[in-house]
Amino acid sequence: MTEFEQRLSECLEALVQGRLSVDECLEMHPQHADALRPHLIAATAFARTADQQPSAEWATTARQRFLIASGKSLQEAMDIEPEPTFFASARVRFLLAAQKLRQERSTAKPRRVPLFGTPMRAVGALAASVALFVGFSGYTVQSADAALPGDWRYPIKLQTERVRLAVALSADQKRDVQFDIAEERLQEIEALAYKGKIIGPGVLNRFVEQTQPLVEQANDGNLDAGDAARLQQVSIRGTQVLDQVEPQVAAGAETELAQAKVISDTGVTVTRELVVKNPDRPNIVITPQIPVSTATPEPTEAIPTDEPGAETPTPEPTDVPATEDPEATPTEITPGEVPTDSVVMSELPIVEIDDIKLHTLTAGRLTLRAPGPSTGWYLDGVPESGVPLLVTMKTQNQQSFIVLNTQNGDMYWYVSAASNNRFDEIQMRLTRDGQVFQADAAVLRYFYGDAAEIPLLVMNSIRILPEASPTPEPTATLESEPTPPL
Amino acid sequence: MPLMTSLHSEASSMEFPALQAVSTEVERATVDRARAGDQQALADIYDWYMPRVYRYAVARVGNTHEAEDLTEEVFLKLLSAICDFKWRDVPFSSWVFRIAHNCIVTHYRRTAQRGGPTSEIPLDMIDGRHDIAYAIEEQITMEEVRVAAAQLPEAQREVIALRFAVGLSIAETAKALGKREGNVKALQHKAVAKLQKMLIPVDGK
Repeated sequence: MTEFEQRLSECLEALVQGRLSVDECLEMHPQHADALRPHLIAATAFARTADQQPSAEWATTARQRFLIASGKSLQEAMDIEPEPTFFASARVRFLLAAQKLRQERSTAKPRRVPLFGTPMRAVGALAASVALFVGFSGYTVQSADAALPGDWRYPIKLQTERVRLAVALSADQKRDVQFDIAEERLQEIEALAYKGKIIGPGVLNRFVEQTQPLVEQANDGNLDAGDAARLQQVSIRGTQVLDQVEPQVAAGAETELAQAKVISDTGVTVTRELVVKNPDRPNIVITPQIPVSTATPEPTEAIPTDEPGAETPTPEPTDVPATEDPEATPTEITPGEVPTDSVVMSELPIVEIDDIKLHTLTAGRLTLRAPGPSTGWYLDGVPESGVPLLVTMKTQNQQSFIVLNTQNGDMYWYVSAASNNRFDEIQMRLTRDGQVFQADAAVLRYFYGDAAEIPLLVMNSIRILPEASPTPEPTATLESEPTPPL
Repeated sequence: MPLMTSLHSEASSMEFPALQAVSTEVERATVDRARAGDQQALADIYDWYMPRVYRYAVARVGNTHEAEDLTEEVFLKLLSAICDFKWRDVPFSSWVFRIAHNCIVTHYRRTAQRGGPTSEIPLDMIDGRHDIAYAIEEQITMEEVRVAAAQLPEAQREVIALRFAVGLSIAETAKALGKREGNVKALQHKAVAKLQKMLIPVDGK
């Protein structure tokens, strides 16, 4: 370094530290003054270009946001769950978090401390902190949590979310926060719609921004089963919410709505694959919760048939199967169907629904529409005579079983979704306390897609026929007086 | 270049902007409290460093609105990372401006991707102490300085922003940028030399 460079360096340091002005520097080094002057002026001019003050409004709000974020981020970073009585006070939340952090750090690096020192220090720190944070507004933090787009506190809410993301230590924690935020965006959309507000540009985009990375991670196979299940819930709810709020979406936000729908639909599709086909997942057991409006008829209420001689339970096959509305639930028993004393399936299909040909199956009082060989199904182990308690239908590839209770019409469907000999058990139709419940078709279609169609058709066709009237006595018993009970 | 002449002529009264100084001991104690979750300590750190981070952002992006956004971003990142700060690595000031430097780099990358325009300091942001004529003169002069600084290589601009706008020492600047002190000094000299050549004609001294 030359002498001039040395002097320049000293002068710049003195200017930076505020010890000297340019003039004073030049006076100190008169032999280099001419050369130093333009350098020092240039440096000073540059320093002055940056000598700006932020606007007072920004300075105030930014500081407030920082303070709020600091309290909230620490609280969430340490996953503190305050007592409900403390929940109203963000300040106390923060103090609890700070206290926990101190405790964790002392645990991580154990030191010798007096036996009674730690609690006293904690109490002292707590008290001191209470005094220090008097100005901290718990109300703002709390109320910002519930803020909706358009609210003045909404930017605070977004800031705190950014902090939550930033303080998430691991990829898993970060994903948890992303899920929280995505769910929050959905709740906001719902809340706006509920309040009758127009959902303007940006609102739906925020949902897309949060959900899209999660869907992409799912698509790349980077979500574990738990995260996939959570994304599944978010996506399903997303599709529902977006459909509901569509009339309230602003004219300029149609593209956002379309994007949001695509993301939600993609999320549903991608996660279904992950959830259902994950070989490590536990078996799904679905228990029906939808009560069937027409409960199993009691035998005493049965309408007696006037065709005692009916001996052909199998209906006449039709050459051209009729087509029906796949969602329609048969409400009336086909005339001519009567209980049988064996399991009988019509040779030909009697109905075709969405290219699925269905036969009539009757086993005792149980009657239903069943898939046959043309759809890859067969009856398994049915005795030639007599009606067993359970009748089983299977697919040729052994991946799907339907088990029917011939006494009460209960139906179970077992399906191997992961091709690993693990079967989900879906209780399609269940009798509980005299009430009949059916599985939710939407849930099954969601989980199993097209594979659920045949079981659903079977479920919807199940009927328990009234008991057959006893064979009439050859004598005109109808004319005789009934025997009085003993 | 008459406008620079006016700047030149007032050289005797020119000083670097004053920056709030905090003793090393106080800063160290405050940072330790902040790392332990003390919000008042965090607030103090914010109050000490916000003006400097803001100046740094202004010096780097030249736009007060973007500087505000970047300043806020720097402090949110500081908040998330302060628990990991270790004294043995770098001075706290260097650590803060390393965060700021990263934010600026990210900002430039984003701006480049968007194809955004370069920004400038609006006239209405000039310090209200000056009268209009002075403000216009000052504005143009500042604009010239800004344009000249923008022509410096990135490494040189980075160094003089930390040195002259923020007031970091050579050692702190070196730590913030992960460079050697000698390298920082050399970059500083080159930057100042280029600036003075661009701003002050040889016959204008």
